[in-house]
Amino acid sequence: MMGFVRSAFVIGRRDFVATVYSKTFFFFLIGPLIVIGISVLFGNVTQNAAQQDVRVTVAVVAGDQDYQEIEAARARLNPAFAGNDLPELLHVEPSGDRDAQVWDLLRSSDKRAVAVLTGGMTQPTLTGSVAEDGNVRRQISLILDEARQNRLLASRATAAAAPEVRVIKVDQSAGSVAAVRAITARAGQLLLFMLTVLLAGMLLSNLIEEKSNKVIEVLAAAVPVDAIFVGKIVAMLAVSLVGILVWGSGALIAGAVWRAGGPMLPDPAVGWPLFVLLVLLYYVANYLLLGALFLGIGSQAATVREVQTLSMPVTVGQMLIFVLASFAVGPFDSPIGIAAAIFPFSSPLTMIARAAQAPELWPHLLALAWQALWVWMTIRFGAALFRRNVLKSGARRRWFRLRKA
Amino acid sequence: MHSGVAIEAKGLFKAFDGRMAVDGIDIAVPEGSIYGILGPNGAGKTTTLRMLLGIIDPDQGARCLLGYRRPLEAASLVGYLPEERGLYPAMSTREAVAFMGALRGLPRAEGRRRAERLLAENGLGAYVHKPIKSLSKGMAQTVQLLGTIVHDPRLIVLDEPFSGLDAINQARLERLIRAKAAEGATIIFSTHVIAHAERLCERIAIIANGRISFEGKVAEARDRLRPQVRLRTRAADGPWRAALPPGTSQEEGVWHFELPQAGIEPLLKALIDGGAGIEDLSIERPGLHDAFVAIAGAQAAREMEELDGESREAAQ
Repeated sequence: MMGFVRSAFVIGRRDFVATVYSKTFFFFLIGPLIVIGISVLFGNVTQNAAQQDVRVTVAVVAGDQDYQEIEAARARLNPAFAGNDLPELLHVEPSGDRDAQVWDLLRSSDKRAVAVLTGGMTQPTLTGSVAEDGNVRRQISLILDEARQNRLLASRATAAAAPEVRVIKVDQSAGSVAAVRAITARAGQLLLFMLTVLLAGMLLSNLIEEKSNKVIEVLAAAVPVDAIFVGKIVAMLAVSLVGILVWGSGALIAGAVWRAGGPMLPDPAVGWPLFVLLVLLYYVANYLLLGALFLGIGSQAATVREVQTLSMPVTVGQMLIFVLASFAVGPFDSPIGIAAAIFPFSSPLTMIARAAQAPELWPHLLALAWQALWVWMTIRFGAALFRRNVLKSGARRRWFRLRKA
Repeated sequence: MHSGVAIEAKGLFKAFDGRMAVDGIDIAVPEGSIYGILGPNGAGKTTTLRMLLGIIDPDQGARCLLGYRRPLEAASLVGYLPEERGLYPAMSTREAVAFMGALRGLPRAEGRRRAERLLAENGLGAYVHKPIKSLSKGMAQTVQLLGTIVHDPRLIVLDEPFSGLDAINQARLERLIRAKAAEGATIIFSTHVIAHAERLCERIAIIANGRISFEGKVAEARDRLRPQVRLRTRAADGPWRAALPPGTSQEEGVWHFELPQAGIEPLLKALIDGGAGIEDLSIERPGLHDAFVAIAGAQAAREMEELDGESREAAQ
């Protein structure tokens, strides 16, 4: 056993050093940092730009009195549409030729009105680039309706203050928490999925080097194939963790410098410290599981071209796993949720969603042990396949002997 | 642990895609000996070595390497130079040698120390920190050989070690093999060059078509053939011809035949008495080459000679 660990370590150390001490690793590290930098930079600029772009202005051609009432109605309604404002209104006094005035308003570039409302509250007409059943028409109707009713109530002199809605605050209702925590669950899944898609694919081509320069014969003569596989997978995991450390620090620094602390996620059920730890553990499990699978698949390929051909179906496979795991967000105790947690390759993604949504810890211990078992079995299987198909060893008989023993 | 046998294998069979590559090989290599495996390409030499080392498992049969039934468990005691040489091209020569030692259990620091010494001793002192890809093919092969022996293995397995080397490096390799044997290591190497086996080996196995057609001492292989007699006579014919053994052939006035069991004297007497007039007479002990022809067949010998010519051209 010690010999096995030592052998795997020698193989892994070589791979790690060869990867990290290369010029290309600099680009590997810098790539995502550029993305983080650009997204922070443009995030700030575009957020403001987007708000300006989205603001819709409707010119209202009406008398002073009418306009005041319409504007008052809008002001009353608008707070209920937080973040998705009702159209801005722009008051224009009616002048001689109504049609000509409307055309002037629509053409004028400094007013930026998408439509012009004429006819006041009684015969409202919207002229402009708005759809028959579009938002602008609906929202303007709502505003006008509100204004008309207010006028009606005022005329009867029974205008009553709007009823105050009393709020009884409860810390958390089960429904709201589940709905909100699903966001954290999905965010965790997406993070794991993205990192694994970006990083585990490297393992597909990991044995091509040894095969093309014939070092594999030197390795296989000295060390069990299982140990070669373990060494290579763990080395690439370490490489990916170096990357994640650098990118994570980069993202934190960027967040601190630009004060762009992204959207705050709802607290996960197990609490943040434990959730972060579980994200890390499930990332490792996910990487080892898929990495072992990819290394096994890739080891069958003889050329770089074959690996490139394989990488597309492998990515599709990962996406299917992601879809399966995302079914388990929310109803994690449903049959499909349990199935996704048991199926080894979707288990880490499913379980991180569970960590966001349920506080029990024992299922995670169980799942991590289960995943570790499958990592080992996948490595054994990949190594056996490699011995049989690539080294042309008599593995079939070995299996037979194992069963007999 | 075991009685002076470094490698023992019984009834090794191996087929690739239905084609028999090794067809029932028994082998026993005494500890401390230099052992040669001779045969043309495709005879099963490399497959046999790979099975003995545990890189692949045989379809049938058992092998025992330095007393270990699972050959990889003996990895730290074994050094192996594969037929297809391979090193990581970006590694420095020192790291490559140390890495190969580390694979077989030698601590890296010690491996680096020994690598520097070995490289300096073999004329590569200036290349200690140079990457493998900057070396010539022959230099890279020397580096790999040093990596094969850096952990002082008790058993050294070399697959076609002489191919691709020029005459100077071949001689250096022969010296190294002898030196390692003198230190007590067992050396087993495969070759298709009979001369190397003849000069170096105490025992040989001749493999053809996946089977061992001879196994034993080089002297025994030679002794399978009687010494060859060449005789030129002045007289073309006479009663003395009856004294020549059966199977005698004549080529351009020279008689060729095996030395008779009774020795040369009765024949000489008959020749002199018959007035044959002996012009030229030689008795030659057969070389390993003749023995190889007799054992493996003329076809196999021709194939090996062609290969030898090719590899010599490749080395030049």
